[in-house]
Amino acid sequence: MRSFNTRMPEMRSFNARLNFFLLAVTLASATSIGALAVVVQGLAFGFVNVSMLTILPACFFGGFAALVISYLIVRNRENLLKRLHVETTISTKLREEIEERARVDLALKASEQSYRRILDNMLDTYYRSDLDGQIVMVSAAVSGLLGYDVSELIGTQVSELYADPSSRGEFRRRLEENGEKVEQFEFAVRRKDGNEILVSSNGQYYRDEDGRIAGIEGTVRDITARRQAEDILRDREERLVEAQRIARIGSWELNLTNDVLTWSDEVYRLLEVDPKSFTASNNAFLEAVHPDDREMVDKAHTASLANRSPYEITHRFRMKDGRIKWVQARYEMDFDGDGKPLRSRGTVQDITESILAERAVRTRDAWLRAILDNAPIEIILKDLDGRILAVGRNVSEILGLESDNLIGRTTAEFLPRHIADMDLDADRKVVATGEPLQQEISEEINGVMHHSLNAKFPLRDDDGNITGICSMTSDITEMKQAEEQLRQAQKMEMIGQLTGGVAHDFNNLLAAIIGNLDLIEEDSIPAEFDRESISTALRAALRGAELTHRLFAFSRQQELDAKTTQINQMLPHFSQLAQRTIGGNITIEMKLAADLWPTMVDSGQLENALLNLAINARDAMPDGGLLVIETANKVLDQDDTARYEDLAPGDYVMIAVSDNGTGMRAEVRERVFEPFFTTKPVGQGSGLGLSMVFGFAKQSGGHVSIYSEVGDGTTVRIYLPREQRAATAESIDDPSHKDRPTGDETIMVVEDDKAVRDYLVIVLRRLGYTVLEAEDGPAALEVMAAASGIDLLLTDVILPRGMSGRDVAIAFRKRYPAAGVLNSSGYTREILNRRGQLEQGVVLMNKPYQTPALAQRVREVLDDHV
Amino acid sequence: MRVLIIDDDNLVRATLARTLLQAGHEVIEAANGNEGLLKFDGRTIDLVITDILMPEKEGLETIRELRRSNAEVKIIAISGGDRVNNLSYLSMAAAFGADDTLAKPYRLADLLAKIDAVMKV
Repeated sequence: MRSFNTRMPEMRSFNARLNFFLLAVTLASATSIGALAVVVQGLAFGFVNVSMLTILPACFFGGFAALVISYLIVRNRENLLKRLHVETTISTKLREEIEERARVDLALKASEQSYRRILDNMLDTYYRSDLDGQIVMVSAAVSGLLGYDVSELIGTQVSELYADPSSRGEFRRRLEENGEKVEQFEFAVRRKDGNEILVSSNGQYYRDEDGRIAGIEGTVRDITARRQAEDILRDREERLVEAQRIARIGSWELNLTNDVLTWSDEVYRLLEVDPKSFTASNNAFLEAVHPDDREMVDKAHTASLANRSPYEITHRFRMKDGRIKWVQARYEMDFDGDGKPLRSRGTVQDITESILAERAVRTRDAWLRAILDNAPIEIILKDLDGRILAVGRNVSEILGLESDNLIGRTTAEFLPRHIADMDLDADRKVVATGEPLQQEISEEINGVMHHSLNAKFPLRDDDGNITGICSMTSDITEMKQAEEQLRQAQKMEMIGQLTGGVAHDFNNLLAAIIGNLDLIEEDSIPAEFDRESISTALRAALRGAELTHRLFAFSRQQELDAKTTQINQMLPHFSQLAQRTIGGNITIEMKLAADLWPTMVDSGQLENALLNLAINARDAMPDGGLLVIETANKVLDQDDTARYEDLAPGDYVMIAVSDNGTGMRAEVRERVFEPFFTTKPVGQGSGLGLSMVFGFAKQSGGHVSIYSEVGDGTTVRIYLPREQRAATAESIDDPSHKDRPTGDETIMVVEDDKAVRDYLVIVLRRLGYTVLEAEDGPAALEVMAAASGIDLLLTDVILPRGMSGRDVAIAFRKRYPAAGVLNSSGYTREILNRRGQLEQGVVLMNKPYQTPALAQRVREVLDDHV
Repeated sequence: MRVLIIDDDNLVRATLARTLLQAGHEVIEAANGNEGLLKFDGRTIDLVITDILMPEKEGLETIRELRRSNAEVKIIAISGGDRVNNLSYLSMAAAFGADDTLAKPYRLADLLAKIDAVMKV
């Protein structure tokens, strides 16, 4: 194939070939003639049949033709040669071209085959569609991609394969926009089995030989898996970022070959810098490390590099505003095959919260420990099995065992049996009830009583379940001793108060006695003055006697003069006495039970007791109020009396004294019957009043109860036993009573105060006298005029309506010259004298009255005028 | 001389009144501090003799109020009480403005001497 390059050699070859041709023709002619000769001879000899004769003309013609050709060739040799040369030249060109074409075709074919092979072996699917969108060619990979055979797809509309046919429009639009090609166009296609897959396609126009766009060709690749992988990867990355955020773990990586440092979002967040404006750098990281920790961090890093080992370190960051963050940093390095460091990477986790929580827990542990060790009480924490969880230092000191040796043991191992049993019982109670428990434990050790106070309460877990018991014990021996001392001191203080009060009272009495005796001793004083002084001194002395009487009553050394008494009968008199004692701004109301049983009692002492109660009531009602005295029959059964000492069930007469005053607090109420207990200042109450009432009631075989509420007032009830004998009640003002002399004379009482007048009338009538009464002077004159005889005038000195007691007395004396006159007044004789309201030498009684004194004076005056 | 006697004990009051009347003085009586303050007349009363432990208004308060209203009047405090919290009532009375004090029971001569002494100052 290499010849035809030069003409001359070609021509020579052609000439040679011509010669060779001539030779061949000559040979052919000769052969034909020879053949003819053979046939003729064969015919001649008979071994050639007639049919053979048919070749004779051919042979003849052949030989002849060969001769002619040879002749023509020899004759036209030169022309022929020339012509041959031209023709040869042309045909060479043609042949070259043909040869060329064949060669190209061959190459093309080979190329096409190889191209086809490549296409068919490509993983991506190649396709070509014509201008109508019909697939004209598709590579074999399509069967893997879509599940169709190539033959099934040829002639199919490409768009039919799209899951969403509009995607094809989009593809074409992009192709038009981009001009020639579109790369990585992603869309969904539907497989033969109906499933959709995601593909990526590169496409472009292809052109025909004339350069016109003939269709679209391209490759399609299944990217479902890739996309899934990408999704998974992205999802993973997102999760990682999220996980880092949640866990507060930041990660970083330093490429040691190019020194590029990357931080995860969380590192930026941790260091409180904005990833958009802040560039990650090792310096920035180190700067944020707490100055005190930098050296440590640096050392750890260096050591890790040197040892080629990962490190883990906890250190602090200090924020710009001074806040501290605790982080746990982990770090490791990758090396290449030669041991050269490739990259370092690590994590940094914000553990501030857990550090703070840990520290808080540790702090609280330390507090608990400090409390356990320093509390002046013995604290033991136990589990539900009674095993010790923790003890205070003093517990180990007391037991002489290290706290570690106590943990896990039970108290039974080192407490006396009975104490341990008590302890265990208490623990069980606490667990069973879930409530705190307190108990006092007294124990004699070496002859000395020891007292302790034990408090237990349940320990609960977060869910509120009881998981243990806390037991706290304090030695209260000293406290108990102090309490006892205090009680003694209080008793002494009470005695002090009593003596102070009694001494004060006695001093007053002595002042009166001594003062009057001093007056008597003075010579210059008139005799009648002496009498006044003697009277006053005597009264003072009698009051002294009364005081000792009361003291004895308190100490129960006084004998009661008990008689069958109708209390309802004595109360009206008492009410008047009480009214005078407690003043006008308190109203006394009586609620007396009909058919009240008689009782055996010392009426004088009962009066004293009731007066005490009335005085207390008055003190409880400084602004006035209501005092109710009530009587009732009460049957007390076993239940009622069981609450009180020395009280037998049975019938009782109850006398209740109630006020609507201030009332008293419980702690006062509990102590009111204690001797010497008083809420009043020294000198204003001996503290004996209520205790005397109590003593009196007890001595009378009865009882006293008190009911009081702050703000609501107080009720004191005295229970006295019913007198079972049907005896006639004696009058409280027993005529035979030595202190209260009686009489049957007629007495006129002149008194403007009705209460006082009534009192006088009642008392005097009880004493046996006939009593006439008048409220003022004019009324007295009328009474005098009407009366048949009057033995004594008892008149108030100061009277309304123009007549004084003196005026009444003068008028009285005129009518009854032999009769006695007894003046009474709240004012002293001296004042009355100065005012000229008193006759010289008359007998004056000072108010308030006291029944015995009144009886006495009345009797005296009457006797003087017999 | 006009003397106001304040004492809740009527026997003491009567005895005092009698003593002062005998000594030629004019006497006004009151049974407690409140009554005493009501009866106190700064212009005519020269001397107040007051008890200390009394109901309604006790003597120390009475003395203080008397002193506030009148710096001139002479006051003698008398008491049969002893002391409270180591302070005797009488020393407290002196602190509140009593010119002199006298413990009950007292002798007549002592009382008159006190009165003389106080009035001379």
